[in-house]
Amino acid sequence: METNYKIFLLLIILSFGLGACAGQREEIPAPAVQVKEPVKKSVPEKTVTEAKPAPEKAEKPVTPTPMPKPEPKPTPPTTVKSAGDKLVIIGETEYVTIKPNNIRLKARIDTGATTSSIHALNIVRYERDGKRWVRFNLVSPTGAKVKMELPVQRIIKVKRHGTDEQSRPVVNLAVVMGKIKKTTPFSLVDRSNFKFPVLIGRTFLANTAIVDVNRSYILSPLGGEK
Amino acid sequence: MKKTNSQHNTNSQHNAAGILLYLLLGFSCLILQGCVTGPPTKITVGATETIHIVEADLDFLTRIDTGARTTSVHALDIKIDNPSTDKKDNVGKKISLTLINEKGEKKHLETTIVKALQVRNAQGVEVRYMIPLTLRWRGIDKVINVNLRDRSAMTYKLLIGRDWLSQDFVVDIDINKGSRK
Repeated sequence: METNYKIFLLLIILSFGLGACAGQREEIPAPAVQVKEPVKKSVPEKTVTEAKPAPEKAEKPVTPTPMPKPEPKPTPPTTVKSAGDKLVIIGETEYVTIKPNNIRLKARIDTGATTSSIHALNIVRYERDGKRWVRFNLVSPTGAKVKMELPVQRIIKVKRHGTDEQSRPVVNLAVVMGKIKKTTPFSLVDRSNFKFPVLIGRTFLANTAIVDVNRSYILSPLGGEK
Repeated sequence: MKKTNSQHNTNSQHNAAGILLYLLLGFSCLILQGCVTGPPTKITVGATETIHIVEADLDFLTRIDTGARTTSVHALDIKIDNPSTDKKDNVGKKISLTLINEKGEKKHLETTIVKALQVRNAQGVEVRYMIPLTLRWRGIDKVINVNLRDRSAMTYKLLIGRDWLSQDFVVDIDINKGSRK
């Protein structure tokens, strides 16, 4: 008698669970569509709630679920189906790790900038085998100077009203940001007066990331690997 | 016979309890996941967008700049009613100005200074006046305080900063690539 009652209860819960599952399945694609078609006029109901989505964390506890029915496998919340299919959402600021010395620096994500730039000191241009090279120091968060020597990709002339024309060498740097690994051009510039030693511009972001200025440092600070 | 039955019963009870627990755990996880991550309600914008300033009835080709805290517009002929030399003292006073878009279309505007913003950039520190403007993009109106600046030398006469993006939009620089002519 008691057992029957329990089994009955279990059945109810099971059916409820299936319903919940189905409900969720319906919910998942909806936002993706909304993101794709930004025509929809809305004041988002969710505002600050998204501050800590920690998608990886949220997904882990789901695995032990012994549901016979497979999970609806929601699209990982870190990605949004938009222009590309697997664009990572990043915050207005993120940590980047510069290879090969693994210098971890704070970066401001700047869609207003074409090329990324990085704080460098003692920038000296020279020629090696008829090619343009540059030697410079990156500054680690502890203030230690890290020597670098790389071929110059090009020179950027920066014209700003009120200042003299500046020319900045551009080098290719291997950087890691979360799961993103890229070798991408950076202009070398003295950014001593700026809060962020690294500025991530559009060349880095292209086909890679979507910027959400309401969030910061979303990605793993360790950059996915050592 | 009876014995095995009861054993079976306890076993199934055990199983039921276990499954129940697992289910509860699983669902609370699912529900939590739904609540915490939520559906991405934010709308995606490109690196350049055309935005309408309602007060001036002008369209502006804008650069969406996550590196800029506040939105900035090209303004000339700025005249302040009974101005003080200290720009901060002019907050609350009437201001008249001309807004100009990238096509050279102009509109005269009269409004009130709501703030004197201290801006630090590569050229040093400057104080800019801020006025409230209604920015309309695809039918969505947002009123924000926009700072006034001579942007004659710039391609984009309206620069959209994080204040406009805040809460509602995310930036995907890969869309609208063709719009920059």
